[in-house]
Amino acid sequence: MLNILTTRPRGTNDILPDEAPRWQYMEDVFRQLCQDYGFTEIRTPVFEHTELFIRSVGEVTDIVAKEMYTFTDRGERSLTLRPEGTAAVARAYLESGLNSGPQPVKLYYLGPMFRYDRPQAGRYRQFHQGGVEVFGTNNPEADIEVIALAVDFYRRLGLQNFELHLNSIGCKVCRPVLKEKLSSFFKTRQKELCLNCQERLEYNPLRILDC
Amino acid sequence: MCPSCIVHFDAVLGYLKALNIPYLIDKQLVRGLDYYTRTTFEIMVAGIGAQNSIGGGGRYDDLVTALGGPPTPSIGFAVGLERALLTMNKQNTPFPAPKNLDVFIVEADEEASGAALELLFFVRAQGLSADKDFLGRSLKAQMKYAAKKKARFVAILGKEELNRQIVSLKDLASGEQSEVSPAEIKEEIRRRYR
Repeated sequence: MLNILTTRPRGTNDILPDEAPRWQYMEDVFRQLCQDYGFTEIRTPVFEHTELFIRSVGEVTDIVAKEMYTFTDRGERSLTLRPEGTAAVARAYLESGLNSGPQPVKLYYLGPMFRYDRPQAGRYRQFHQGGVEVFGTNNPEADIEVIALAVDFYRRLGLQNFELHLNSIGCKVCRPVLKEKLSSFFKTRQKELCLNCQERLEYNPLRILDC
Repeated sequence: MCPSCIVHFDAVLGYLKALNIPYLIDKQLVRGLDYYTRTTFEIMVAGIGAQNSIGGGGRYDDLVTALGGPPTPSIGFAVGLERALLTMNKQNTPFPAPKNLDVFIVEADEEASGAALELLFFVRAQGLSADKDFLGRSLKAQMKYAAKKKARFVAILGKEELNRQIVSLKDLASGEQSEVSPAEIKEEIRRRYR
């Protein structure tokens, strides 16, 4: 029988003393890399108002619909453990007035994220991410800065056989047109879609591509 | 895609080529979050199960406005550390050797107990990492414990050493032993590390 007092919650992990040096090393590599690229660190709370994720990540995404750790605190606020890092960093960028200083603003973060997901190899309910954000430029050079940093991280760690996959999903001008086209295409073949995708057909036909 | 999105994407691809960063265009890559626009990317690796994305990101040109801010085109990415570690372990990627304890203070007898504690804090104040026994172990058991803690050196302090104002410093890597004053410990350790 499960002894709840000596068993960690499903999907969580203890990083034990034997393994902690490997984590410290990965974190050190990430921090150094970000500093080398001119990013500075930002630390935001692990929980935010639930509304922030609904507005940013999107109400009909899997993350918001099924995977958030949402709770009501003693002051009756709906709060959510952050399922990803970008929304909170964007919130802090606005709240702190960083948006009125010199642009672009280049920030990095490192920390735990939380998703009520089905645990499997390399996938946990509390997991750790390092991330960067560049606010305030649409220059494609900023895209390169971020993509190159991601690739450089795995290079510095000594990882082999990784691939950079790239796409453009358009902007608010052309995406609705694409969505419309996809929607009408998949509607003609609705019966061939999985149940999940039949739902997506209504709200987010783009996601069908990645089923 | 609209003309300005095409121009943007072509510029990104052009820079990637110029910087010799290999890429694959993947029309199915749409990411699971609504805020993405234009460029999306993922780093994929074979052999960690069906979920083989180890990191990714993209542009989110409308996110800041969605939160009530001014138009602020932006881009970011995140890497999953569990997935990176899993992949490194699968690929037998070398990690740097963890930094071990510089010196373990060994109390040779009761008479040295107060002095051993002082010595512990003295060497720490000199910038060395140091530890000692807290369970009143025998000399032999302390040596064994020091080895288990992977200390590089032990500094042995007993009645005799106290009288002569020295410690016996043993290099657990080479087995060499020397007598030094407490003030010389740091320099002796530095010298032997090389």
